[in-house]
Amino acid sequence: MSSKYIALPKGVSEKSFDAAIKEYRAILGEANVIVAEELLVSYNKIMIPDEDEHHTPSAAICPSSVEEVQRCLAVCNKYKVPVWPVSTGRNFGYGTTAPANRGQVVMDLRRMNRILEVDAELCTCLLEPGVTYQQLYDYLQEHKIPLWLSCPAPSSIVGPVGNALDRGVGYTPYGEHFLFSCGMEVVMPNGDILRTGMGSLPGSNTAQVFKWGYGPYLDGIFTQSNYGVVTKMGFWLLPAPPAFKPFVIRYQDEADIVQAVETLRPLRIANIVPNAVVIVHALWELGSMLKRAEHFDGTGTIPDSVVRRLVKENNVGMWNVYCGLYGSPEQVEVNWKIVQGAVKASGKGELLTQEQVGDDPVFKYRADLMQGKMNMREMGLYNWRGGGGSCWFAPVSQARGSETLKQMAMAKTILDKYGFDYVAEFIVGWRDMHHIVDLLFDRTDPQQMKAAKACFGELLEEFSKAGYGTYRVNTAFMDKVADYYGPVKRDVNRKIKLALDPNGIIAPGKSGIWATGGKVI
Amino acid sequence: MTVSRRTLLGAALSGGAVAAVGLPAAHAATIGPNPPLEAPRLLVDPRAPRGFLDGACIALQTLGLGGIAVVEPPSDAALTESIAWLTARRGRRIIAMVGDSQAILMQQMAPAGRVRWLSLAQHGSSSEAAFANRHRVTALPANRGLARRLAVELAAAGADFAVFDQPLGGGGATPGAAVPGFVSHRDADGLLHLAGLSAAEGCTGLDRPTTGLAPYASCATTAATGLGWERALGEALALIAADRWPQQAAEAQQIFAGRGRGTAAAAVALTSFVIAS
Repeated sequence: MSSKYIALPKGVSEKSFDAAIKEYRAILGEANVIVAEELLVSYNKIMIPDEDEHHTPSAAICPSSVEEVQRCLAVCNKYKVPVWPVSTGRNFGYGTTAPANRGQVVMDLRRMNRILEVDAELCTCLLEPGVTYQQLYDYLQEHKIPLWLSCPAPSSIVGPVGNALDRGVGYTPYGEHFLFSCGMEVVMPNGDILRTGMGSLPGSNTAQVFKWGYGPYLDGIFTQSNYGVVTKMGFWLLPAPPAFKPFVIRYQDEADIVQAVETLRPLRIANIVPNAVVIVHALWELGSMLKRAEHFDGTGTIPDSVVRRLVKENNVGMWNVYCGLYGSPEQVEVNWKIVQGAVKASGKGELLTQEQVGDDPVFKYRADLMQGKMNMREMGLYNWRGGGGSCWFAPVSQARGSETLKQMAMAKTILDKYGFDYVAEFIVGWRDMHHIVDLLFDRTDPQQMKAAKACFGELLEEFSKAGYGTYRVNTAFMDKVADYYGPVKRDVNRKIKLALDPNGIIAPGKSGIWATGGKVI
Repeated sequence: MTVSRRTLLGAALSGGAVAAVGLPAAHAATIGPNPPLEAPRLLVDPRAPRGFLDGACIALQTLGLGGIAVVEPPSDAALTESIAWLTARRGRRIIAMVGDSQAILMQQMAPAGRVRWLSLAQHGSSSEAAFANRHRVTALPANRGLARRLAVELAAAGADFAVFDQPLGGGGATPGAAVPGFVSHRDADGLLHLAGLSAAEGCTGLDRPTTGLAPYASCATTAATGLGWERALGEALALIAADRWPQQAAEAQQIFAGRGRGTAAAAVALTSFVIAS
């Protein structure tokens, strides 16, 4: 090795980095400044179609308090060392814990894992970034607090702060996670501590109940960005409803998705169905429990005929719509009649309740997630094709049936060109729809790696041309997506960055935002 | 949790197994009867080749480190419990060859910065890829040379294979040793060792340019045991877990490829690793 470090931050000499490491150690202690290869493996594991070495960190630092974060940022400024903050760092198909660019120091906030407050009456909580959903779930259970959280599919190992800051979603009525956040504490690049909303007012007890405060609403600029390190975040929690009724509607034809969206959207907008409606394609549904090679040994995309056979053999729909009803037993009963009526009137779809599907493990994991219960069954998707490659493509559209067929056709055409399967779901929000395609590929095959990268690039390009922007993207494509949103937005983001973080020390390149207008800090 | 456990006691495997393993002489000489480590835990997916479990178990037995093997797809609960077991005390190790989703979960659940990764590799086989049998090894201080060992065994078996030896961080300037039975080349990215195929064929299959490729001379030897890559891997991971794998210098990135028989019986994707508390 040419250096004693596995990587160095761009533009930082080994001598300067030595000095920075020495100062980090003085602040955090030896054990919390990691430079050894065998310990940094966890911070370099990626699933996206890019070379590991492009995302190799130079070190990881693990502060345990706000004061330590402040002092570490001062060292970063002194030596111009860039840091990549992560809370629990589980963004699998968006880039995991590894930094966007080689040499950045991972600032691992997992030691800051205190549940600072849960108010059972106001249904709020205040958390540090290292708190996991499992931790919060256990806390609520242990203290018999009748509140539900909302988590994404990897559930127990993920954290509320990181997920909300990346604008992730869950499956309960509070599934739009950032929307249900309230109040942040942010360590700014210069070490100042900003409390957003009502949190800036000394003596205020309203930071977790009133979002807006006074003057510009700032919370949004700290999401999917690199303007500060969020060290506390408030959330609203869902009062446990007296009754909950999960159900699935199975459709047997791919084209039926139009009817599915048209049927469910009015119910969603009217809050009859208050949670995000998830419309799961057969291969996503089956992929969490089957292995592709056991059902198809040909080359290229799995043929539609094989998918149809698997659908029949496994008693699932080509599309499987999951949602739930929440409220008092009386409310649920009334809303159930409305849902039944709507599905019947549409003339399509088989409506099934928990009692009717019995022990179906896929239904169970969906039902668990709709209640904010931990269930990691979806991880089984990574065995569908195998090889450890996953890249989430996430374009947004209006919640209209016509959009689904158009997007599905576009995605399938591009995936087919490169030999990948259409493993996808649509998540219908209040008025929008996220189309999530999990591009699964084998990282042991260099040709698949190359094909996956090209395929993902083409998906972004073609969907953007058609006006479908992605709401989130992995660390290898952030600049490209930032470009699609236009030069003015990019320039404004950069000007804010320069004003707040002139040395560009916090997560350079996050969402395509750089202090210095290029990839080199 | 629903797992089948096999306790590997002295009686379970005969002492004659040592000879059958065919441990390289350099390794056999270092094996002692009273290692300070606890018996490692083995997590092995039933899809893993039988030779892997045999190789690991026999080597551990030889080292006086009988262990417990979990030989069913480990459930989430089993993975969680295994991480808890690992981190409860220093000196514990897990040797695993599991499905990719289980490996990803383990990687995510193992406390970053507290669990040491001694070895990590992905293993894939399928007929649709340019090479039927593929291994992507992350070269770490404790497992350097593992990719070379796998490649030598694969070449000896006449397999159709590619082994990627990727130092964490991309590796340094030190070139690796060439390998008998392979024709070696060097370019800016590292070394390319080919068996049974030309540089042009190798570059096509590996999807890399031929420009800048220059011949590279051999300077060291690694002999095949002839027991197959699966058993060699199991044995190697046991030695790595027991701190008995010989220390080797860091090398540049290397790829080993061989054009032999299309030996992928069934498509399978697994991840092997050794982690230590």
